[in-house]
Amino acid sequence: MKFMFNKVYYSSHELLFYIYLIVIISIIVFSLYMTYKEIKNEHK
Amino acid sequence: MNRIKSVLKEKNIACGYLYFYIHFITEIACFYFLTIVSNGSNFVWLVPFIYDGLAFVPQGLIGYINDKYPKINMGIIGTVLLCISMIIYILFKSVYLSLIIIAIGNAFIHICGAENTIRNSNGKLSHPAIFVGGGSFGVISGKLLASTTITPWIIVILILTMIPFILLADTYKGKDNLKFNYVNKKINPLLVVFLAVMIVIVRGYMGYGIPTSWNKTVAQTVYLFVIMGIGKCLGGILSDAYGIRKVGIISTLLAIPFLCLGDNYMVISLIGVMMFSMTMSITLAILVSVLKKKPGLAFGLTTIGLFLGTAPIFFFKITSQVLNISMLIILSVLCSYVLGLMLKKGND
Repeated sequence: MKFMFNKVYYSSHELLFYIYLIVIISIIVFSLYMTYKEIKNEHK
Repeated sequence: MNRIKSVLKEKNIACGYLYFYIHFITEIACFYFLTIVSNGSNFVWLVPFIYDGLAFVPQGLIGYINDKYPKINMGIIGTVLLCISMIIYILFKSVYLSLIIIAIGNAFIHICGAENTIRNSNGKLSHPAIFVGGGSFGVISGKLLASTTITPWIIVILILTMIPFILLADTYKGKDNLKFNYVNKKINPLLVVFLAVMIVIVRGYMGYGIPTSWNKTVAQTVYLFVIMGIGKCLGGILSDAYGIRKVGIISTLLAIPFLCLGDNYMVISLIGVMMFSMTMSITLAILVSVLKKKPGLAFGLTTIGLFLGTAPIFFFKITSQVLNISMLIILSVLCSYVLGLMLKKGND
């Protein structure tokens, strides 16, 4: 099965892999942001 | 020796032993599954890459949630997920769905173990170190089990044996003993977090570059993983007995000659691997010292660092032995210097 995004066709495997990367990167960014927030609170 | 004996009799150390078993079984299940799945797959590298990402990275998020809602039993959730994943694989042979579930289940159990052992350790490293050490024994046992013809239902039964251990370890819950205080207060805490995560990334990447030409038989691979596990446990135990700063700097520096000269000599190399593995609990203690109220998030940061350190291995490897050894020496000296800078004097 193929999906079109921004005028480019992706296979379902490709699409899942990109979703995986986006999820992973989002969790890393979230964890780093929460660490920053926590340090700001704990070490005022 | 007396110091080590007294560390092993430390209050609540049994919590560490309980999680040693839980971590051991978790890794058996995961690596049994991974080995079986990778053998028959066209995407040999893709399966471990997806597994690493989904097992290591979400621990930051799950750790944060567990810090906020400590009453949620992450261990039981993880056990259920491991069981579901194995059953889906056995009944429907759905590789990717089981892979995603088993990886997330693994993350839940890791956070549960880290959170409980850290909170009950009274500021000591041995408890989380013993918990972490159980993983290496599980990895090799899982790989070995996958090469046999046992039915996968045995793994489901093994996973279920974790439940009484989790419930028993849970009886230690509720004592908020976050007395971790190992970091030099003159350094900005944000810089401490950055440097500690960088050490984890660098050590994660270096771990794959260790020259081990001697490793050719199954028995030798078993020795390697057993020594890794012992090293991880010893890192915490020796730090409690002789001081975290001393152990951190000495083990990182002493590992260099053993790792560089042990390419063809198993015993020399294994001594180096043992010392190399000791830093694991030390970086965790540094992060918990900064994020005192969020031990789950602190543990999650170390696993994120491990993922970032190991992810490049899937795409490129350094093939030149000279470059490999030079990197090993330079990065180890740098790590040891940074550890000395970050860790507070007088904990010895």
